[in-house]
Amino acid sequence: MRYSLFTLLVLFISSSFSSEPNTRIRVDFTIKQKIENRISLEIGTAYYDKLKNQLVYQLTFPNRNILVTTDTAVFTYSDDSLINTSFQPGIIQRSIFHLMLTSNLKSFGLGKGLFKTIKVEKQDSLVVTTYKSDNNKVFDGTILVSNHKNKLHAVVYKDASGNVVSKQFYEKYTTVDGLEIPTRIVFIVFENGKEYYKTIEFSNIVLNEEHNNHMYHYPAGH
Amino acid sequence: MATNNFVKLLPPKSPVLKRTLILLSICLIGCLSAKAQTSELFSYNKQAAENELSSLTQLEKLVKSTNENYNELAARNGFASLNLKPDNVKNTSEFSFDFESIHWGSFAWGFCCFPIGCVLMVFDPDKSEEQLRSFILGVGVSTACNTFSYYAYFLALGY
Repeated sequence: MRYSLFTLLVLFISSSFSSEPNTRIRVDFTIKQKIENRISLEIGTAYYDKLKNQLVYQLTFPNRNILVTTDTAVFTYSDDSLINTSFQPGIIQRSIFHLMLTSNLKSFGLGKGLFKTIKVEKQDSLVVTTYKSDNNKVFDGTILVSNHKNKLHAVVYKDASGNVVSKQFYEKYTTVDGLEIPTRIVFIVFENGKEYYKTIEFSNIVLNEEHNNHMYHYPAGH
Repeated sequence: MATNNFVKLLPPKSPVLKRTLILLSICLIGCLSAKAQTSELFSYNKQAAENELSSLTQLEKLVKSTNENYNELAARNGFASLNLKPDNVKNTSEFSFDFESIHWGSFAWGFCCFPIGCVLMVFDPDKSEEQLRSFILGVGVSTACNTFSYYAYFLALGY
């Protein structure tokens, strides 16, 4: 009896820990993109604290800058001095980091809000969900989200005529503290009969980091 | 017995049977091509992507090994070792949110911040509802054709 109670207690404690929501993520990233003859490479570390609601990029290439993204603006710092501010509407809730931490990556965050599900079908090993915006002025095409083995596999954007204009592929998943995270994302945009590629790679992924508070809480706008 | 019947079917003497077989074949081809289109929709040419970004992979290796930024690399003519011209390599990391940047800006373009929002900006919001209706109608007709062809195919097999 005593042994059973002890086992139950251990199970309860362990389940309590495992169900603790993830609030922070830190990743090293590399972004590669080529358009015609022009190439761009960005290397750095991203810090996201869901509770703070700001995304901080610490870049090492091409410049050693810090970019702080909030719901209203992006602040660029060089040597701790604010050098640029760009105002833009709230985008944090759509960040891949936010989708990961809130377990909404599978649906690409489209299940609610502006987009509604119009079709779900099984195609071979993929489950494909088609989404459409309620507001045609926002987006009048369809977004197809495919899941493979219960993980986000690809996102295909079609315009209103049914032409594919963009694809994203989420690959090389790794499990960090029980959270499935893609470590490579491939973007393809189709324009004027050409394909343009961009890749984002993640490494050194850390969840719920207790250190580096100054990066997660980087004072934005000062 | 069943085999014998099937063999008899092979050289169709009846024009009705011949037409049925042709129809079935067309439906089957339609189904297969639809499947091919589906798998093609959710795949891409990995080799083409690797080749396209190969110069960047080399640059990435160099940067990670030397821990240099753009200016330091350019100052010691480091781009030349990779046959790259500094002018062809983006040297800024500022966010900019005009339409062009959202479309192509390397940081803004579909990056982690807003994989949805920026791609939405790519599209022309002035497309007519008529075009969308035609597309949905096309999907419906295609689904109906596929259903019919599967039904006919399994019927012909005697299920």
